[in-house]
Amino acid sequence: MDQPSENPNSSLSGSLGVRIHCHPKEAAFDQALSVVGQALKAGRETYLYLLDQGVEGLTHATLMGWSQTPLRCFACALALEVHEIEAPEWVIPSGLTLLSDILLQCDEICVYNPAERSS
Amino acid sequence: MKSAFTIQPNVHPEATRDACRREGAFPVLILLRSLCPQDLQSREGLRVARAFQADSRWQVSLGVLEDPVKASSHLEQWIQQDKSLAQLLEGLAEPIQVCVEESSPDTVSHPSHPSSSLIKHLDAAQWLELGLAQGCILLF
Repeated sequence: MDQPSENPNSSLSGSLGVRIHCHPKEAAFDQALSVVGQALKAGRETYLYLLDQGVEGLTHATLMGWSQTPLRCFACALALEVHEIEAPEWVIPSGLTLLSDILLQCDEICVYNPAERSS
Repeated sequence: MKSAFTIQPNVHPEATRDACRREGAFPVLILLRSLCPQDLQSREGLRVARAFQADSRWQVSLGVLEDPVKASSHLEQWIQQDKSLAQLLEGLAEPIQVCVEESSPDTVSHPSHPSSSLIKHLDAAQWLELGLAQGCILLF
């Protein structure tokens, strides 16, 4: 599993919800994974939701390395269909209701928006 | 208390903002780069806006990072193509919010303009206030 460096934003305790909307080629994607990795390392309850072009990051080596961790990983079902990506077994395809729940229920949320248009 | 912050593109992670959860619905700003009906990101943004609007736990606001004149024109096109957009806008507490630079001609605020009531112009200070009032900003 990747061991990310200390992140100043992950100093809080409690559950963490991370929404990644950017493409895996963007720096924000790596930054998001760094925050998730740090949270997992700290033993925090962590939820990750991949939206739109973010689902293309499902094959990212760091993310794949978390399949055996307590990370709860979800991917937008519509985005998976549009991008013709099959989610690995440990990733749960889900709708926006779940994203809504994650953003509302987690003690801390991090949102990684895309820097550029995908269309 | 809930801690929330957003990270804007190409901004250092320390440039974040903490926001306290308000009583009642959680404020979210769906920020669109454009209101062009052909833009896939804009469509995705409105899909999320519709989903969150249907959930009473959210207080949804819509903002556009587009020139107000262009935004108004795009909005008219979109409403003509998709009548359900008007329903979405009616359900918002505020009209679509656009930041108007001081130099911009305020042509779309004229009452005779069809979409004038659907777009609210904010100056830079109001725009900043809008952002600070949110618990979460989702950019599309």
